[in-house]
Amino acid sequence: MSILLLLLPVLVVAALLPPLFRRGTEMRAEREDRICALRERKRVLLAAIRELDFDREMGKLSEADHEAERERMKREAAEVLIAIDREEGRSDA
Amino acid sequence: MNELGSLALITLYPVTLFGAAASFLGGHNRREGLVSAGERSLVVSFLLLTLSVLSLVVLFLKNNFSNAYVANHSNIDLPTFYKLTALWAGQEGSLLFWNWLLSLYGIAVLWSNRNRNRDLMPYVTAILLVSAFFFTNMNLLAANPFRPLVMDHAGTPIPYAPPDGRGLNPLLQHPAMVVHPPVLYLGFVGFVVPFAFALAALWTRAPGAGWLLATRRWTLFAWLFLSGGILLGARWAYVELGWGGYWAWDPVENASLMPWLTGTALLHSVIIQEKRGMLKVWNAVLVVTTYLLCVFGTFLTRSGIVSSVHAFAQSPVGHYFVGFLALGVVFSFGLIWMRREYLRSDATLDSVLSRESSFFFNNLVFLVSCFAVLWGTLFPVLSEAVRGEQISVGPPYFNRINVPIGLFLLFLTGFAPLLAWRRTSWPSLRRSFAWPAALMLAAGTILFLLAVRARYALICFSLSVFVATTILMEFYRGGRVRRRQLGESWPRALANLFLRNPRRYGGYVVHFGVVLLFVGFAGSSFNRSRAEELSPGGEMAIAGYTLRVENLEEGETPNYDFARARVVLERRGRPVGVYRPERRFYYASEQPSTEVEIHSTVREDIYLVYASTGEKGGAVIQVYRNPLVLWVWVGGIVLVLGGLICLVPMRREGPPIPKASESEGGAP
Repeated sequence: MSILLLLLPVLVVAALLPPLFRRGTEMRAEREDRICALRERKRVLLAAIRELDFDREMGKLSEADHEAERERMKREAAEVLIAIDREEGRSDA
Repeated sequence: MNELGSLALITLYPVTLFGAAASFLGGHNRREGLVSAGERSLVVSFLLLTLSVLSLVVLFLKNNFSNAYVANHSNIDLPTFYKLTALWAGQEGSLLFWNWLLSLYGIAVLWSNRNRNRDLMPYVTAILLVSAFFFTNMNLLAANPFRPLVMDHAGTPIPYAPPDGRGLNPLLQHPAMVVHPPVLYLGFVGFVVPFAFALAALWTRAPGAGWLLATRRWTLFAWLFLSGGILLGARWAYVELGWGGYWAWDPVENASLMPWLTGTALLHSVIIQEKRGMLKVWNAVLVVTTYLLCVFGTFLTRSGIVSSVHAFAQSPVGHYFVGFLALGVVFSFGLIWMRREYLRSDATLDSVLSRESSFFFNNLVFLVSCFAVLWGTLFPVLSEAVRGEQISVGPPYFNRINVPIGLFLLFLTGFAPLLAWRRTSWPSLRRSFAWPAALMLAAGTILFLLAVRARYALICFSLSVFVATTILMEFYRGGRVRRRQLGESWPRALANLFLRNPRRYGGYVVHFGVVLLFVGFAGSSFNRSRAEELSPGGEMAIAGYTLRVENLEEGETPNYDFARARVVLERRGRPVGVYRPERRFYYASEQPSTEVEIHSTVREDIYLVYASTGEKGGAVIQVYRNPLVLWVWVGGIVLVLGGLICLVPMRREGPPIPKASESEGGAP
């Protein structure tokens, strides 16, 4: 038991310190995060468009409101797709 | 084991500090080495806390009464099952357990975000470690579970190990109490994840609603556990405390209800931010408030600031909690204020008749309810500060405020799903409303004619019919669309409603659970009770039931002695069961306890308590007739099931559903 008591702080220090001595390690690019967030946004928007269509079929909203909201969502989805292309183009480059 | 657990806690102290600093600096300077060291600190914290928890468990199992916590919460004859759960029976152990769960969440968050949200993760890690530091600090300085038991010998404290411990509080020796604290704590602690992500996103000015999407499931997960914990606590109170009810507006009950109210508001309002880019400040405030209320709830439970049935937990930890809460409030709300420009809404409210406005109303009502509960809970403390004496407001205050609020929320539960996003046309609303409103009025009229005169109960039953109808109509209309557009059979169409949009249809199941809960709550308007001393052969009647005591017995176990009555229960002359309510006296803790017996049906509960031994040597039996209590438990189960459905990943759909006119002749 006493050996374990002595070893515990040593083990903890040995586990924590090595990453501090790595050389020249910058954090992973922000771009991956941005692409990930954009893809998630795209998924949410597509699901929202499907739900909007579903609500129209259920008779919850008028044709005019449906069209207006669908157009807005489509515009945003298009912007997201362009942003994804731009980010992926950068990472390819 | 005492030394090992203690050393693990002491080692944890610098690890959390180092990890928080490394994570923050790593994120700020974009140094992977520091970020990695911070994440390793979180893993090491988890391992050290696991070591501490296991050490304490071994001390309990080995009956090591030289440890003060073990000596105060266990005894040799305590069943092994309860020795394991005695870990969270007292303040020191439950704070250690809180911290361990926090580190467990930390590991899970780290693993699930190993390849995403990398910009946010250093700050998330830092916030988790700061929280862990706070609890470690408290465990070391104010509530150390590894403190040795000492006795005063001529002014000098010397270590002491009594031959037996003082035992576990009898009220905690119940299966529900084994599950209730961990489940509740998983809920409380779980809200640290959205809190950490929200602050990280605010700090880094992360674009979009990425943090909301990243934490949506975590929020729901925590909310589910909090809901389950509250229900298990209510169940425990009902079957163990022996006063015939399941909710007494006790400060500790309120402590769990307040974050539940704000958490429920949050679950609704995040949908608005996700869909419309609105309510960003509101959501940030709700996330912060919910987590701080969770910490505040733990403070209320553990500091003993307001007297309650849980007052066995009084101690000096209060100052630490106040310090942490003050820091949390200043830092979090300060950050929200500093980032108010970044939190500007992308859109405005188009119409009052829209889903988003109904969600906003629902949020306001939840917040009003939370504030009313907070005010009532803290009133004794405030009155003591102002007038020098503690004045409790009690259940009448809470019921007067919260019953109308609850009924309004119930109405919104049915009303909101009928509305579309942005705006709803009057013809559409009339069409959606016709059947639910007609059935609500019919139900109200029938109940009134059946002599139901309790005003709130009548409104509650009528609204329950309204909400249940709207939910059924949602399923019917949704299923009909799938059948028409995709040619699916009814069972397949209904199953696909869940699979294609689990959050929406799981949410409806949650709402249905809420309806059942409200029906159960309304039943309490018709509670009856009476008490009588009965000798063998004695009878008592209540609400169409007759109970007859057949015999009385007394006995002993190694843990307690007991007095028990064998009671035959009859309804309109026909026997419905034999029950054995019992009164116990626990040796180690020298405390009495009642073991109630309940005859439970869909219609009502007959609740039997062996209250005491009477002057004539008979048993004083207290009997309660509690209508519709079973609906509360079933409603709770349905609510949790609905929440679990919401957690199911959405199955990918094909192309958007075509218009009816586009799909004549069947669907693919």
